[in-house]
Amino acid sequence: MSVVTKPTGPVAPVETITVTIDGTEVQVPKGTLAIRAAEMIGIAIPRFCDHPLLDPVGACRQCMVEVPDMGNGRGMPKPQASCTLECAPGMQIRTQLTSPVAAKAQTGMLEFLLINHPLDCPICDKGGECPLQNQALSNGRGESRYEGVKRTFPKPVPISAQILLDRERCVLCARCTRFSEQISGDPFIALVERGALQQVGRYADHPYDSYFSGNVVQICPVGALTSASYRFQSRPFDLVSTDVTCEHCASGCRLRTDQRHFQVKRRLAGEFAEVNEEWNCDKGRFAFVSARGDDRLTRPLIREDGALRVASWPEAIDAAVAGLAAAGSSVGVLTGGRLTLEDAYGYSKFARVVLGTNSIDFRSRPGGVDEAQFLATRVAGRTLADAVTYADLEAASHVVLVGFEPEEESPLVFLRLRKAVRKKGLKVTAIAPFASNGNAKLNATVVATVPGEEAAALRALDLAAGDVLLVGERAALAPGALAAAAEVADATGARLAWVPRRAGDRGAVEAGCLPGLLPGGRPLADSAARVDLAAAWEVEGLPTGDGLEAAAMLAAAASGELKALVVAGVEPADFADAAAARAGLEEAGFVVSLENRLSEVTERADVVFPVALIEEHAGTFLNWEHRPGRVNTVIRQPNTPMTDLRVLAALADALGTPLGVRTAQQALTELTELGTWPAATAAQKKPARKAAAKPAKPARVTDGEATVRLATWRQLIDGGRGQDNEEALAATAKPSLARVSPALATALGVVDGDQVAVSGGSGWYSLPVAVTPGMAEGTVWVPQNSPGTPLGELGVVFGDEVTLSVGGAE
Amino acid sequence: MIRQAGQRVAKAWRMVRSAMKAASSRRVMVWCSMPMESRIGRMVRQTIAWPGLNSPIVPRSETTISTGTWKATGSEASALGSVAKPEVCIITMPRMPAMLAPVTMPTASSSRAQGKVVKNGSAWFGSMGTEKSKGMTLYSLSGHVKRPGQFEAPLGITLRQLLELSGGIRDGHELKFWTPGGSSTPILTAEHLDVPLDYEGMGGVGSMLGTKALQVFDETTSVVRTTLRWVEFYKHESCGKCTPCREGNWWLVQLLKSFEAGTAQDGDVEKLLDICDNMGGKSFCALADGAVACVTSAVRHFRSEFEAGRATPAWELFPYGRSALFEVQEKVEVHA
Repeated sequence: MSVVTKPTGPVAPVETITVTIDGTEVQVPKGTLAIRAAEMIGIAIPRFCDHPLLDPVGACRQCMVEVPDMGNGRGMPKPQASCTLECAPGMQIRTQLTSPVAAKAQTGMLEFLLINHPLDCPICDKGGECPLQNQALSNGRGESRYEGVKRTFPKPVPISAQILLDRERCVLCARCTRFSEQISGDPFIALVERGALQQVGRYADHPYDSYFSGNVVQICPVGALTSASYRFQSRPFDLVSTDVTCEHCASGCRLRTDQRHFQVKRRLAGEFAEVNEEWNCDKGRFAFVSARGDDRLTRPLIREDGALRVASWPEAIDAAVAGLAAAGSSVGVLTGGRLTLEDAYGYSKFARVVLGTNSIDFRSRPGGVDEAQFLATRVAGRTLADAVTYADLEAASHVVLVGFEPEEESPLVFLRLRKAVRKKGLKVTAIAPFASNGNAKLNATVVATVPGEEAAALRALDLAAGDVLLVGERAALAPGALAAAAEVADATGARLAWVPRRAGDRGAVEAGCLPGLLPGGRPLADSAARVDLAAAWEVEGLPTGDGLEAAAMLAAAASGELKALVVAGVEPADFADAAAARAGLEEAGFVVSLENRLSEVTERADVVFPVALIEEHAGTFLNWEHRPGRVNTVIRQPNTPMTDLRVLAALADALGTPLGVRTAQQALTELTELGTWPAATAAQKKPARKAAAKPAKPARVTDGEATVRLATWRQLIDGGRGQDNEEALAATAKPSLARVSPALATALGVVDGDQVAVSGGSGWYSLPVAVTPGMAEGTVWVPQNSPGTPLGELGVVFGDEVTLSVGGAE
Repeated sequence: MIRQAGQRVAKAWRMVRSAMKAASSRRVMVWCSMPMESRIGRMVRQTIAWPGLNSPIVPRSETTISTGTWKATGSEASALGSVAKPEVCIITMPRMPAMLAPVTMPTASSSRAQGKVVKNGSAWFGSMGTEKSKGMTLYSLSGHVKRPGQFEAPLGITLRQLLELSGGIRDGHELKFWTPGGSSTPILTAEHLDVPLDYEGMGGVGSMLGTKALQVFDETTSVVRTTLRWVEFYKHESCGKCTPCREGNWWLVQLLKSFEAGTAQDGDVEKLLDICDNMGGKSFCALADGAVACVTSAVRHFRSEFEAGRATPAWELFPYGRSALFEVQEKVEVHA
């Protein structure tokens, strides 16, 4: 696969200076730290507190070097910590390789670190990949001369449900506290006490509530911080590591997945400077065991006499063929947003070539009227080369967030924005109902906006060329917001990027999993595009009729208009109206499900095919930057189920119209060869409908009830099925609450913690209230799918009117 | 920094006020040790209430009185830090914090000197002291002297002269060792009675003038015990940020305790010195260097006492009761 990189313009010349390290002259950019300069020429100075992505602190004193010449002819009288020493022109540095003083200092430091360090190696997770072990062997003494008493603490101590702290092992490098304070902005841990009793302490009122807490386990140079889910599972040399791209959100983090005995044991953040640097979020790190339960599917199932029974592959294929052939082209395809690019392409081609329908939609979530148009013109067919990237976010002077909550929906975008806010003074403006914790950590100016009014709020902003507009998938639910975003971007020269919530969303758009969009950004309405595609696919023609969107498909299936459904990994609860989704699946004439676990879809399916887990897949995810991220196969066993693509190829063969591709490699090659269609501009089948923005009505409070607008989004750690079976992670989820403004709370007569009922659609939920200063009036915010509040069950979405009333905990 | 420097608190408070007036500052942060807090508080409230003032020097709302743990190291950042929170953390700061805050932090002696220099002129000031260390200062004498206290003298005075001023070593005893400026300065012996107590003089004999808080010990004192007590102080005060100080002090205390108990092993004196070599010059701040100074100078001048710690407890060689200034019935145990 080719690596797609952005063409860079002329690079500003970097001022360099010359220093001499251990007799070797090296030119380094001005401002380089001595420890980095040494690394450039392959000299590893031992260190603990130093980390290239954290501000230097000089705490551990391990990286001692001698500086016989500061650059002005005079030497420094004492050895220096190279991690806080900025290179000066003409500086002479001697590391442990050429300086006995530096070597002795380093050996001495290691001896000091080991005097209070417990003899835990045999039971410590870090053993085998431990910088203290490694550096003690490379730069330390063979034996300790310490014969005294070590300081002890009760251990381990949970600082959150997932992270365990062993204070005896801690070398007080402060990497964890610095990471929390600087990078993630969650200062729930700090160094407390002093002297040899100094330790990492937890904020008294909260556990270590951070979406990024797992990173401290990775950067801790000893085994002081360990994760509850990986503790005692394996030694690193027993693990087989594979590079993958995360399958949860659209940030596109590279991960290192470690497996042992054909089971994934842990996932670490991979090193990829352009995207996630060296960080990832807790969901990506810990939520990979959803298929470990008893509900894993490994054999095909057929419904007989109302119940599913195990069948052989030929039997199941035959049954599926019978049902699909009978339906002809009256079939809808629901792909969901979790497929790899290749699998999504397989569904897209299957729908058009094999089934003869354009009714395919990846949006198993609330969508909006303008969305398809927006995706077709502003997203599909774009590549990394002309896209907004993480680097652009870091370099921008102003970023506007519309219908997008970075910390919850794309954590690594959040981290990069925060980095830019801290280091480069980036200004962030958020058009959101209230200032969330994430907004606060970005010092964002929040334009408190009632859901539905985003378009107006956006038009009221003053943007300049070079500013970046980040639009989330939720903007589709705000009338006119997407169109406004496009208009504003065009008018001001600001750059626009769409940030979906799932890893497979962008790939699904590219693969053409939309009723009006063919692969490569080809609009269905464009006959030239259809001809081009038909030629490439070597078929006579392609179906020209408009396809149905997801909700329409389910409604049509329920009424009998649509005869069959082919469904990939989707959850009815994610749809705008979960009951309608279930009804559609229930009443549909014939349902084929490709799933890896038993689900609400398989419960209603006629034929179920087991498909491979993400760790059994090879493929690609496209992230929000349109950047392809490789997913390599982690676990390969003889009995590994087939991928979605392979199953579809088998079905296609049996239906008499071969798919033409069987493997991910073939699919990717074919899709790449198809190329992208020039972005559609003017030719539109329907004029873009700009729904009139409903003016915000002030909340009417009568008899303790208020009619308000619903604001909602998915929290990072919530009831999504991909996070199942990981209790420690689930325990770190934010609590479900209903946020209201102080004025609304007063009008209702509630204070923090009182129960309120949010009713809309087909029911109501009861939640505790959180009074949120600065929140938009006439609005209530509720998490979209947290335990106790799956809004799909009520059938209400962002921007709908709901009733808020006091009480409700009956 | 208002310390109970043997002067009345009121006098010290008046110095702060005059310094504030000179600096036209409207805000004062008073940093004092815990026992002083209530007295300072009374002082501040009385100042505000005193009639005859055109306007209160210090509006009540802008006075902050905080207590802090007294630390050996003079880092201003850590001093401010220790006022801000009970744990001490030394941080790197771009400039001296005092320049950022609209407040002056005079020590008792320098603020006193300031007033006099302004009054009498710099030539008068320069007529005292030595070539390079000019003027007068306050020497604090404590320990086994007849009249411990603060003595204002020109820089360059010798210990012999200071002992005369303070009545000398207590009757029936003779000087064994002393420090020119608190425990962080290498110890000196009776050999150095006539070395000028100025920066150059002290530097010349391998010590430092430091804070000029001279501690004087007579022959009843065990050097091993004193060194242990000093290093226990450094271990207690260490902030814990950097490895050599945090771990090195922890180790030194345990080793010195074995010397004190007479259970040291052969080669432990070399080990002690080697640990000091790994600590000194490698730490984040000078606290570790202070601890190292105690140990290396003690071993340099009284190695035999340390070597004796391989067999005999220090309290047998130098019964502790004898170095006390009052009657002691039993052996006094010293804890960290």
